[in-house]
Amino acid sequence: MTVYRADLQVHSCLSPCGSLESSPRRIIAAAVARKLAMIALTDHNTTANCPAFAAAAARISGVTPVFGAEVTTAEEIHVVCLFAELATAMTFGAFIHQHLAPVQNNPELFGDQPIVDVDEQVLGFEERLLVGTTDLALDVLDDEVHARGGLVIASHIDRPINSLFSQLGMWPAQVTLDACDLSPRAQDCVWRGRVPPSIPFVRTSDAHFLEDIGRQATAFAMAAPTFDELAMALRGAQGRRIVPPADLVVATPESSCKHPI
Amino acid sequence: MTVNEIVSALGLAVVSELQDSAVTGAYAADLLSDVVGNAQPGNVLITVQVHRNVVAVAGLVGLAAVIITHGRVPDSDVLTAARDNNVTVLTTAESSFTVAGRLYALGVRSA
Repeated sequence: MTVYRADLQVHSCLSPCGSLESSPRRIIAAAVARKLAMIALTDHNTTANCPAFAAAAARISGVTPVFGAEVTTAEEIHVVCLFAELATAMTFGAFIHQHLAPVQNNPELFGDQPIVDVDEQVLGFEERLLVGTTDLALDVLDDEVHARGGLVIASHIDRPINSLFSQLGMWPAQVTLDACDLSPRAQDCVWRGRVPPSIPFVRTSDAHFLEDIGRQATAFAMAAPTFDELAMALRGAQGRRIVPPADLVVATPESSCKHPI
Repeated sequence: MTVNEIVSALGLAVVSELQDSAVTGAYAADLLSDVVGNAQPGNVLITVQVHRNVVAVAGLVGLAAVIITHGRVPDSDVLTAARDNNVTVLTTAESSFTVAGRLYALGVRSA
C-alpha cells in the first residue's frame, strides 16, 4: 500500500461563494502543485463545472479527479456527494437541479455563478441560486447517491451552520454515511463520541480560494489513487485505510487531545 | 394550560397519539441543536423541522408536544417513531410566527 493524499471537497468559481479565480483548470494545477493524488470538485448543488474539471485532469498526469457536489438537504445539512465517473455525476447533477428550490440568483448579493470550459472560457451563468436548499431529506439523498455508486460525506459536522449536528441535534438513525468531515479546528476525539464508530472522519479543505486547496486533506493507504480504492479505504477494507495524521508526523503535546470525552 | 387545551384552541391536527400533559411554556426553533440546548421540559416546540430526529429530541428534552407548522407533514416512519416514544406530534397550516403569537395570546410564555 502507498499513502496518497486526497482533498475531497473543493469549490470552483461556479459556487457563488467561490473565487472567480478558481477555474477547474487552476484547481487541478493547484492539486498537482500540492502533491494531492486525488481531488474532488464539489460545487454547491451543481456539477456543471465537472466536464471542465475532467478535461483539465485529462491534460495532466498525477492527479485523479473525483466528480461531485455539495448538496444542501431539506434539513439544510451540507452533504458532499462523490462519484467516480463524470457521466454519473452529471446525471446526478440533473437530478439535484430538479430538486433545488427555484429561486433566482442575485449576483450583487451572492456573486456570479459562471460555468466555464477547460480553457476558462465562460460558457454561461447558472441563474438558479446555488446556495439554496433542495427538497431532498438526508436519508433520501443518502439512498440516491449510494444507488448511483457514489460516496456520501457529511460536511464540516463540527460547524454551527449547515452541519448534521447543527440541524439535527444528534446522530440520526437510518443513515449510512461513508464519512464525516471535520473542520481544521475540530479535534477527532471531541467528535468521536457523537458519531458511530463505524463512520470514519476525513479532513477536506472546503476550499473556496485556490490558495486553500489542500490546506487540510486526508491521507489514504491504498493500492492506487482510484475511486474504488478510496471507497475501500473509507470502509477499512482489505488493508486499505485512512492514515491518521499522528501516523504521518511525530505527535507533539500541542497536537494531543485537550478535550477527552 | 395543557396540550389538549392548546389543540382545541388552535385547531391543531393530532397526527400521532395525543399524550395530554401540562405545558410549561413554548419554544420555537428549526435547528434541533438549538432545541437540545435551550428548550425546557414540558415545553411545546414550534418548528418546520420534520426530520425523524425531532422525535428523538422531543424525548431527550421531555417536550410536551411538537407543533409542525406551515402545512408540513412528517413521513409515516417519523409518526411511527413518535407513537413508539409517546411523543405528541401536532400539525397546522399556519406559520410558526402565527402559532407562536396565538400561544402567547393564550398566556403561554417561553420557560
